[in-house]
Amino acid sequence: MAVYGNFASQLIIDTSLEPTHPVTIVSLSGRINACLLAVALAACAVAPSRDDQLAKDLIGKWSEVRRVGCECDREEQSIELKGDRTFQVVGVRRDARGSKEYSFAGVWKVEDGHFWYKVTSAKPPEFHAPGEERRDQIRTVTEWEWVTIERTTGLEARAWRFPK
Amino acid sequence: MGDDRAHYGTRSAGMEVSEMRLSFARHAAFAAVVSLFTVGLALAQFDSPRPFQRASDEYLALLMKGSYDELERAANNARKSAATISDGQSVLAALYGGTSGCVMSGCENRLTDELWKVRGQKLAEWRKRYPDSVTAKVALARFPLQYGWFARGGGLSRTVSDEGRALFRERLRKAHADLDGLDAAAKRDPGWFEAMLFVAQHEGWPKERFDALYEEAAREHPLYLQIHFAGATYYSPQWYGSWPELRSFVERAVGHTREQLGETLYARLNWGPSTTQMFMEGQVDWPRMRSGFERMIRDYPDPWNTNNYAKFACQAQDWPMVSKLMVLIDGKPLADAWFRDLQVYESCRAQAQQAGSPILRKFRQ
Repeated sequence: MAVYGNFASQLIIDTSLEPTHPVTIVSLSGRINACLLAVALAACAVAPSRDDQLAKDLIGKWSEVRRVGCECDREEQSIELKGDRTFQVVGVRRDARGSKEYSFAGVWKVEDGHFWYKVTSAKPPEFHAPGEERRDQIRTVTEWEWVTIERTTGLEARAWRFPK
Repeated sequence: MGDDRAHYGTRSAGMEVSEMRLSFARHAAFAAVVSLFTVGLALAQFDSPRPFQRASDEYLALLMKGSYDELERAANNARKSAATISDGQSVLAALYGGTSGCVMSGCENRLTDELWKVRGQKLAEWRKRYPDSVTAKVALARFPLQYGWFARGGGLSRTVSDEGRALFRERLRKAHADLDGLDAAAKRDPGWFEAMLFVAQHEGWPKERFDALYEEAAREHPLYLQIHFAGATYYSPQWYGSWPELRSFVERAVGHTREQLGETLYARLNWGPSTTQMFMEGQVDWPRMRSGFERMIRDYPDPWNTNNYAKFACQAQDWPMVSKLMVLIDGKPLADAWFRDLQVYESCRAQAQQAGSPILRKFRQ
């Protein structure tokens, strides 16, 4: 609305400058602005909130590799976020002793620009136990990348989307 | 003096045009706001602070989409113009990094084993679709090397599992055989040399054999920096060299590029194996490194280069230079360049301030 307010004052300035040509310009300008405003208002009426949009963009399958413990241990996980707000993670944890597979599932949502999830089942429960909850700030979700700021470390975590 | 009315008329016409331009600009701005409302926040595709990571991610996305024609176009253009990305590295190197992987060169990996397999399938499809493409051939042949490093993990040898070590060896052997099996044209490609130098490093080739390959690569492609990076890694104290051997190698590499890059390569090659005490212990000559960075940020003023320059200036305790660079950083440091710890940046800034740089004082006002 602030932007349109500026246009309104521009209309007054234009009319005071020139009696003939600017009137035509103002008239055209006014029509275009009115159309644009109508489009904007219509869009506002139907546009999803940022959280809704983020949640929609997040639905799909993501690949993430996280360093855990010392810099040499890592978790590789495929994260599937479903439209019904449930998720399934299948992962493998690797360290000097070898690798161990795990999986966990639960519910998720986007709230105030944060990704929240709660684990409801896990196998085995030693890495991610039922009841575990996390809430990380979402920085971006694009066609390929999902970037969050981890609350515990303040560092970025990046996931890559599986090709559709 | 002239005619007042005519003068007014001219002035008026001028104002009219500028008002129209202003009006158009405001329409454009308003339309942009409307589009933001309707389609959501427009975001850049990739925003890693590391230019090489950003560029290679773009090429990985093209590969995953199966946009082989675009990859071909990009590779052909990169070859024709010896194009560089925003930090001065070769576009072709980023393209190879994005397609066959660059975990061995320090790229962040977000792909699970499942996606690495998809990557391999896409590379095979690309090669099948473009059977004469040197880029597709080399990218596919390089892939097992990077996939092997992914299985191994980037840690020290004692942190690698038996399973990871076995997979790495198996894939290293395959990469060597595949690279060896390519035709003569592919074996002249800079990406082929880069991969073969990695093979040489991991197979522990003796110095004479390694040097022969490096010299051939450096003569043919002096500006493909990854060739020199591979040499510096081989000669680093952590691999088969020592500090004196690394210094001697760096001189050799800088000699290959001095005409085109000045001391830039000196800065880049000491950037990789840097230690916090390298200037104090005399391993690296700061005035030369500074000269290289000066040229680098003049030619490629990417914030990544500027932040790293400031970090090294801080390690060298060159406070006037730190102060000057803080002005360029403009209060927006890249954490990744400061060991992912902004306290390091703050500490450098504070020390430069205490050193009383007039430039920083002016900046703070």
